[in-house]
Amino acid sequence: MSLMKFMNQRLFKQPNPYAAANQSKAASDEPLRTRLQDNLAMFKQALHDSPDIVIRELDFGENHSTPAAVLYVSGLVDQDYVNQFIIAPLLSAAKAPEAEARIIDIFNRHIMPIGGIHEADDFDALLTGLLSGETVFLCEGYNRGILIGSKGGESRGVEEPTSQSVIRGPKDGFTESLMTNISLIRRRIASPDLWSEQYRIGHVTKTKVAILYLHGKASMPLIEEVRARLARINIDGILESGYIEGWIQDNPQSVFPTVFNSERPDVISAGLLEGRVAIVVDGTPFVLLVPALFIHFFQAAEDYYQRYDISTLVRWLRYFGFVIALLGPSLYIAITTFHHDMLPPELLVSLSAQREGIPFPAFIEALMMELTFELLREAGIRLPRAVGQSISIVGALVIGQAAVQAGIVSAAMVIVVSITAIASFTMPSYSFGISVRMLRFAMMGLAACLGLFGIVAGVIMMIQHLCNLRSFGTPYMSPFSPVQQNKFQDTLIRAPWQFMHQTSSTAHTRGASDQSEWKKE
Amino acid sequence: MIKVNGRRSNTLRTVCLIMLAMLCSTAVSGCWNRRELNDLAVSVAVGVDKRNNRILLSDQVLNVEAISGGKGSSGVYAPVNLFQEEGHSFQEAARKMTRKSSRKIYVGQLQVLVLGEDFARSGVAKVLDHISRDHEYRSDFLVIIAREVDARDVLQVFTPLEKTPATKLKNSLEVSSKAWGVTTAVQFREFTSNVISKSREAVLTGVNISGALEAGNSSDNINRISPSARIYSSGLAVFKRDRMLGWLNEEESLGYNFTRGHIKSAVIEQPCAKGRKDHRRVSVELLRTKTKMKGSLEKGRPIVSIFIQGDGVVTDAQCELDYTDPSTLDQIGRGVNEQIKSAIDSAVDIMQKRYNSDIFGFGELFERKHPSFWKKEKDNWDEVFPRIQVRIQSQIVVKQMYKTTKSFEERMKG
Repeated sequence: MSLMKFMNQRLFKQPNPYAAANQSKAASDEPLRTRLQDNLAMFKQALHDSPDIVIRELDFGENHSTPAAVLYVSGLVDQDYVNQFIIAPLLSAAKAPEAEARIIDIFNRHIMPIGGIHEADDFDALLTGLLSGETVFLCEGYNRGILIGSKGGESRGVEEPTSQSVIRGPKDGFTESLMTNISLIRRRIASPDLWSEQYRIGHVTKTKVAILYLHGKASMPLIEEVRARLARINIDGILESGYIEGWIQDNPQSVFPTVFNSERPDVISAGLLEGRVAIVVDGTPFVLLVPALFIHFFQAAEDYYQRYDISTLVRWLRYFGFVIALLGPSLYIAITTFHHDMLPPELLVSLSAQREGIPFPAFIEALMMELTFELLREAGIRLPRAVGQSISIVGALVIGQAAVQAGIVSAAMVIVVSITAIASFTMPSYSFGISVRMLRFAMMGLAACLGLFGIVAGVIMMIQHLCNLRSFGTPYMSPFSPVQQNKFQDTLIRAPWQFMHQTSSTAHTRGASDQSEWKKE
Repeated sequence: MIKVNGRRSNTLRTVCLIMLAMLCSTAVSGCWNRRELNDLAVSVAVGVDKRNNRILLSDQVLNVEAISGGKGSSGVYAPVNLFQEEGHSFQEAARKMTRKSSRKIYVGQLQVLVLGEDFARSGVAKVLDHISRDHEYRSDFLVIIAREVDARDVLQVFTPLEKTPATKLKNSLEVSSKAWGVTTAVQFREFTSNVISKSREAVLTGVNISGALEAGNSSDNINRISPSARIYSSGLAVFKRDRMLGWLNEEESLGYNFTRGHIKSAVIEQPCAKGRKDHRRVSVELLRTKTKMKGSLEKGRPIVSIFIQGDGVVTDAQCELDYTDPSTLDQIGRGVNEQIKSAIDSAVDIMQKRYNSDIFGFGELFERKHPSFWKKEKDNWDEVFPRIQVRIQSQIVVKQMYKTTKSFEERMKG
């Protein structure tokens, strides 16, 4: 913690270049003027005459006597929509603004054939609206502006998620649009209890962040904790939900993720039904879910769509994969350098024959192979897609054959590394997979120094750390530690739906959690 | 708000404590045995012989490349090499061996310990101490006696089927003790506990080499269809304390194994008709045999009752008998039971009269059932043991004759 404080003080307390700018802008935080040209000048100045800001001046009202202006950012708005439903009605409007009448009322009642109109009188609110794709209406003699929802422009459609695929299950994935994402969830949970709160986070980006929860299912302390942690975020920009995750996670020093993320609306909806809270961030398809516990990272969406028996077996396979991914190379190192008597004689003979002439100790050998694999993996992600295939060929040849033939590594080591690699891909959650990747190297080091004793010590430390972790107040290892026997239906096994009466939510839930009662409500 | 800070410092403290504990334990464990696989000379068999007052230690070490056949070297080198060294003690000889071997000899994979007959007769305790004390040795390897030859000679015979002679020794002993009933596979831990125990004496299987000793020491031996030298097991060696006394012949060995309940399956053959000069035989395979031994006191005299139970199957019939008649099977069964009785009798007889060594564990029976008697007599068990009356009951029931009823000769006659 002292380390953390130190880091906060030394690393993050850089002079904030925007802080000064914000303060100077505070001068423009004043109410709008009554003269249109003054107001337009203010906008132009604030936006530095940016070419994508369109200021469409027009004459408005009876006999087109009142000068007015429509402002929008091209690219953020739906151009057709602005032309057809905002500018056209304004030009044809016959009713003049009466001096005392509120323009917004006239707009709503007589002019605009659309919804999403609201009024603002301070400059900053208008500016933010403008920059988020709303259209601003200003007119002479009126010291307020009107924001008209006109968000549009280019955006990606709903596509199949690329990071978490299923054989059976819905194929839609979140997009970069906050509203689309919320709608994808709402389509699945048609309940008035699905509540949503929206915030803007980031001093500069003012990114829209929404929290979603099922009222009555999610516990109040949890929701308040989420709100409080979001409020604590102090950053200029939020470009991805990872920024939020970094700010709200419980223990930044831990390698284990305490915030779940998914690209799949069905996974997030299921989480909401369990009483967890989703955090949707504009501009990223990755939606966060808290609290996130150890077991959540082993639950794949498909577990719930396939039969329970096969799902349970597959889940066991995944836990097994976790152990292999974590300990595979270290067990090999420990047994071949310390515990030769654990090997069956035939295996010992064949392993030591393979090691004949290998210049490096098993640990260095394993380290080299693991590093090569990690390099290949990283290269595979970063490479332009067109050259991506060549990487796999090079990798297969380098790792698979040439290294063995050249006598640099033993064939058994290649097998161990490959199995470990395959096992590490069984993790449904990428973020948890990364933790395992990091720990694998630590375990290898321990195994090389202390053998099985080191591995056991490492595992004990890891479990101790896991049991100590909390995610938004919920113990990370629950329901195993502390033991909650009535919540085991969806842990090591995936019970048939009939037996999941008590929702296996490991989050603190409030009120009725029985499925039948839930329906009645 | 969650009290993150307090918990974190706790974590840190615990992690530090665990690290400290780990560091300390590495200091006290003392054993820093980090060795790569290719730094090992894996010893699979150890032979011990007597050389005047010293020990001749022979280590059969795997030549892994020759065995696994990697990189085309198979058959060029011998699958194992023998390292030998003399010394006053086992440990001294073992350490001296590093003069000859480029790698440290690793005994964690030891499969067979071969004791030379001469050495065994002079007492084996001095070897047992080191092996049971050193942490590297397992305790599940087999112990055998090299009969009439040196242990060293047994370890330098090329063996067919198995590339390593040690594996051959181990496997053949384990297989034959299951299927034949005359040998017995004794593991080191059983052997040592019998040597230590006062209520039971140790028994080991002997192996011998047939054919030319020298020819066995060359790969030519296995290049021939009929190898010049072969290792075969021959009889059981009986011990008293740590000293070998002598050998049991086949019948006595069989009898001994019956008393131990070691017989899983065995073949007993008998002449077709008693007394007549007829070489034809009928063989019975024993299945599911069970042995019970009971020690009791009758008027203060120790008596041991041995019950044998099991089924028999006619597997080889040369006699012209009506095998469909139950009385025929009964008659065969009686013959089998008599054979078993006489085998056990002869084993008990030779032990009581000649060797006076309680390899049957009669002492154990009394130790458990009549502890007061055992307590009184254990120090002069040598006088009590020969006088124990042994009653044998064998109840093998011959039930089946497998696929054919009549003997082959009968079927030929029509």
